[in-house]
Amino acid sequence: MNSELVPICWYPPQLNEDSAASRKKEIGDLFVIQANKTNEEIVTSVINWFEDRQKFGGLIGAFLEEATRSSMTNERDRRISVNANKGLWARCDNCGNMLHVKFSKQNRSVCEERGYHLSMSSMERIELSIDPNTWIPLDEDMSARDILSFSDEDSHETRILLSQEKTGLTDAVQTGIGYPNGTLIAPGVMDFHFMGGSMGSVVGEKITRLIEYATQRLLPPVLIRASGGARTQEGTLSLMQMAKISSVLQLYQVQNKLLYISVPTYPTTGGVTASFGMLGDIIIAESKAYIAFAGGNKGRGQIYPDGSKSNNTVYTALGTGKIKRIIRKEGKGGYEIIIEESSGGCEAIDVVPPGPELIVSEGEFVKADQPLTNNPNKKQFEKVQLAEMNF
Amino acid sequence: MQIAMESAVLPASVSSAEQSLCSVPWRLSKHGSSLQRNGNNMLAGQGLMQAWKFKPEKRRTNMHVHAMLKKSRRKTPDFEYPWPVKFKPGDLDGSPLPFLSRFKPLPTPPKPVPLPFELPLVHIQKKIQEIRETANTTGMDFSEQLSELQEKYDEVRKDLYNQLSPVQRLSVARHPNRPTCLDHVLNMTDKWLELHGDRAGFDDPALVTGIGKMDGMSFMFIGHQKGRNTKENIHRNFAMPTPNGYRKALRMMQHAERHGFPILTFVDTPGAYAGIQAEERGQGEAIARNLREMFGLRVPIITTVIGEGGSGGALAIGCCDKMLMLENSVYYVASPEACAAILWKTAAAAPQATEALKITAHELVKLDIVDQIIPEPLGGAHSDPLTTSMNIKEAILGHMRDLLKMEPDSLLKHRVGKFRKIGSVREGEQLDPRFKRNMKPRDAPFNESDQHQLQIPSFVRENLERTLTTASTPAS
Repeated sequence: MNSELVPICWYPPQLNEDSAASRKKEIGDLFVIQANKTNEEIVTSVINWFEDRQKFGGLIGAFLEEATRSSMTNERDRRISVNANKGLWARCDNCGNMLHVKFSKQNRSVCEERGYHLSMSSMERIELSIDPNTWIPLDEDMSARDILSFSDEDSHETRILLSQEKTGLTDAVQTGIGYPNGTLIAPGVMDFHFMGGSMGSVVGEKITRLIEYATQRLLPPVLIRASGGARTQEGTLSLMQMAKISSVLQLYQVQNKLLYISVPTYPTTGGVTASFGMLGDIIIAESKAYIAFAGGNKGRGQIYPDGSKSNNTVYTALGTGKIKRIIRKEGKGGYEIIIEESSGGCEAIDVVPPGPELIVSEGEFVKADQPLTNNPNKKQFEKVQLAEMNF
Repeated sequence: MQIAMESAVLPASVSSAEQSLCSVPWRLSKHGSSLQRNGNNMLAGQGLMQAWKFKPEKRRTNMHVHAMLKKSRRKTPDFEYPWPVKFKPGDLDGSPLPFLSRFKPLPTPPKPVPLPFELPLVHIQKKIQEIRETANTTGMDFSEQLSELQEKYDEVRKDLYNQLSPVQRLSVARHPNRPTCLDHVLNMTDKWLELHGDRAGFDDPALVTGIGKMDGMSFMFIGHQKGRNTKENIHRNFAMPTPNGYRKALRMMQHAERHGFPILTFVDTPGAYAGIQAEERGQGEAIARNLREMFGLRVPIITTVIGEGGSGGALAIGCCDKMLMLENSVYYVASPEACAAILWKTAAAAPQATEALKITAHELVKLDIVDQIIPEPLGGAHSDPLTTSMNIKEAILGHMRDLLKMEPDSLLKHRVGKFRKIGSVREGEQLDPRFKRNMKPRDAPFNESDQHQLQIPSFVRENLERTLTTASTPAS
């Protein structure tokens, strides 16, 4: 029984060619089954859904696996894991469009609206590009060592072990040789999930060995990068990895005149951009990937190791007028500021998410683009927080 | 004109360039102007100079040229125009054209800024001053107490400066009065000429480059320049170079390689400038290109860290054969404040970050990144800049003597080897397979004949062999 269970969603799946706008209006279609299930089964499963609303993602994920287990004979497909969150619906970061995971996999994780490439784990990339039965990995067993005995809130070693367990990767890069479509190349794929893709001694050593191997065997390395920068916990050693990789590239590119292709993906910042990332003979970037050196958040905000971001943007008023009311939201916080426009008489509502502090109060007169929140960015150059992405 | 016809007779003051020109046959036209020769067979500039030197004595034309200076609207003198109105005798000796440089001795000597850990010294100094004043006013003899206090001062100072913690060393490295790159260079060199411009339309005040002569040998000096007071700091952008600076440095290094003189770099930057204009002009690419090209330069490179070394911005001119550091300087991958903000989530944890990151010179020597530590005089470099410069000079010349004996090829290998061994990993032990569940295992079939090689199709092999033959021909 080929039961294709299309799960509950707020937007019906992309089976017809309606535009996005019309799709969003149809909130009626809750449960679409194309299987031969009995009515009782439907009712019980709907009730289950209502009860386990909190476990939405996990439940439906389990349904999917069970339902499609027969079709997933190929081990390869199973390895292409669901995109980051356990749910079945991924949101495109660029246009906010919801993408069903199965269809997005067919599209290789490219959003249909505007062609934004969603982030993929390194395993996915290798699976999708390398032909089966041709992959030879290099240096699989290399793992990081805590040389500086660095310990902030957690010791560095425990952090590495936690990351390794959580992501199932030994370190942030996978290197090897393989045949995509019949040409032999030496790809190295970095992964953002492992400690933010940070470049430490292991990454440096692996990539250096890959390029040395490629020099001997005359293969082109293709390095796919997704990194946040250098690993601060390894200190100056991770800085020297930049130099190490560039030195090997010098031998490879300039003196042996071989080809090196670099593929920056989302996000690529910091030390990786400043070393081998920008040295490719050909640089092919993914559409709308965030490639920077210091990033737009320089001095203005941090991304903590667990992925949460600090919110340091300054919110400005939408229109000129008097502030009518400030509503403080429950739960996490955040504000809604209702401004009565002096010109039109209509109201403009500014939504400020939790985090920043307000510097205006009720009854004040504000002009358009006047800052409503304080500016936490420190402007002293001596203590410049060359933060977010270290380089 | 007789001077031209007899090419053998040359006035003694003619330089070698002009001598070579005189051997080119040239005819003087009737009108006595040698400007016509410019189009024919001369270098343009030289021709004009010839014209001015060998002016014909008789003017045969009746042409008179009148020129009138346009009345300029500028009432105030043009400050950009650096030539002084009257040349003083001291202006022309020493380094060439010193009045062109923006780096003049400060009008007021810098104020001594005591660091927070130097408070006991400040107290003792105050007491000494008080006693001296009372001695002057009352006339009584306090010399015993004075000498006692002076001894105590020296002792405390020695104790303090011999055991500086990393946080204290960081504050000494960032001291506002610390001698900058140009201070050191002007102390060390006999002759110095600063060169500007990256040949792409911009110049960068944060990175200074130039050619200097030390002990009769010329070197290319490249370094980050901090300002000595706030105004200069703003002009120099706090020693945070933009991509223009790195391209300028690269051009100078290639010049040095072409003409065969060694390169000395001085690192003193909090990091590369990270504004939006720098991003637009390709900051990452500039640094990456510098990193790659520096490993192909066939002349010795020695880097000295004289202040703070801020990650990529410092590494872009710091890929060297030997790295030296001043005793109180630091080299980090991310400034302790940034590191604290990310890992500890508060900027107040900066002292802990400084201790944990291991950024001081002594710790880096243990990690085998730095080759030698240059001792600073007691009290830090800012208390005695001349001695510091002389120490640096000695250390540099010692290393340079060794490096100059090496062949260029072995020099390159040595440089790559120095960086190749930095970094330590753990390998060889079998890892828990749970840690590898998301890494693709080996797929290709095992072939007994060649373990690590896959079957290469014939056209691929031909292609590769063609690249091999072109690669083995000497590089153009």
